[in-house]
Amino acid sequence: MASFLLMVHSANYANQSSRSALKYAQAVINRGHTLKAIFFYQDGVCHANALTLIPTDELDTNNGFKTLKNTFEIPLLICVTAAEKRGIIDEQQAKTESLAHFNVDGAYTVAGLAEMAGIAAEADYVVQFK
Amino acid sequence: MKKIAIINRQSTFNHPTPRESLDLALIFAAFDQQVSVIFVDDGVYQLLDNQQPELLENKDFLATMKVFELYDIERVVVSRDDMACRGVADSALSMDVAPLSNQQIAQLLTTFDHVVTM
Repeated sequence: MASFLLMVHSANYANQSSRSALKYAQAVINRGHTLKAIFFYQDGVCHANALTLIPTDELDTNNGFKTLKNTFEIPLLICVTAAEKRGIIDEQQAKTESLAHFNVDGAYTVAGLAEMAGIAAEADYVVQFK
Repeated sequence: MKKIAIINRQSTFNHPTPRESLDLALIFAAFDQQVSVIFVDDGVYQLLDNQQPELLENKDFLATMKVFELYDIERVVVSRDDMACRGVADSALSMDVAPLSNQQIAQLLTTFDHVVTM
């Protein structure tokens, strides 16, 4: 069995790659492999925006990723530097920067590139979705 | 330790990708991974000398490339073919890089544990 780190580079809803990443992640788990984490980089950090409303008759990838976290405890990591520049802010950052709001969904963890690099160093496969 | 290739495919100022790619390369290197940085397609433009990011009010992230050596970045490679078809001469480059043909790069890529494309 192999271990995987997935990297998601594009925003939810903007690109098919978000769906592909979700399906791939589900397949990795279903086949009994280890999914170490999903790292959201570049525009991918937008997945963590809790203020996203997807019509009920459309695939809600945000919800799909949250299920992976809640059911299988797969860490959903967002790059803090990429996130801040794109208006994806968690409660702590909002306080520190005196911002009126925050929007990071509780299922996601604000992390740094360093955490991703540490996981990549241990993973058999790094798979990108752009 | 993993052998990691970072492939840069985009021109310098069109998108924040080159800058975010640089962050990736440096963080992998900081984690003592064996990192190579490869410039192909429009990514060869990132290596042009005398670019003036300040004219676009951009931060000069290109200067950071100069610390590749300091970070023990294993090798820096550029596609000779992609330079040629864009009219980019060796003398126009800002740093010492190894020019390889696309075929050689394809061969080189088989030697890495992880390949990250930006």
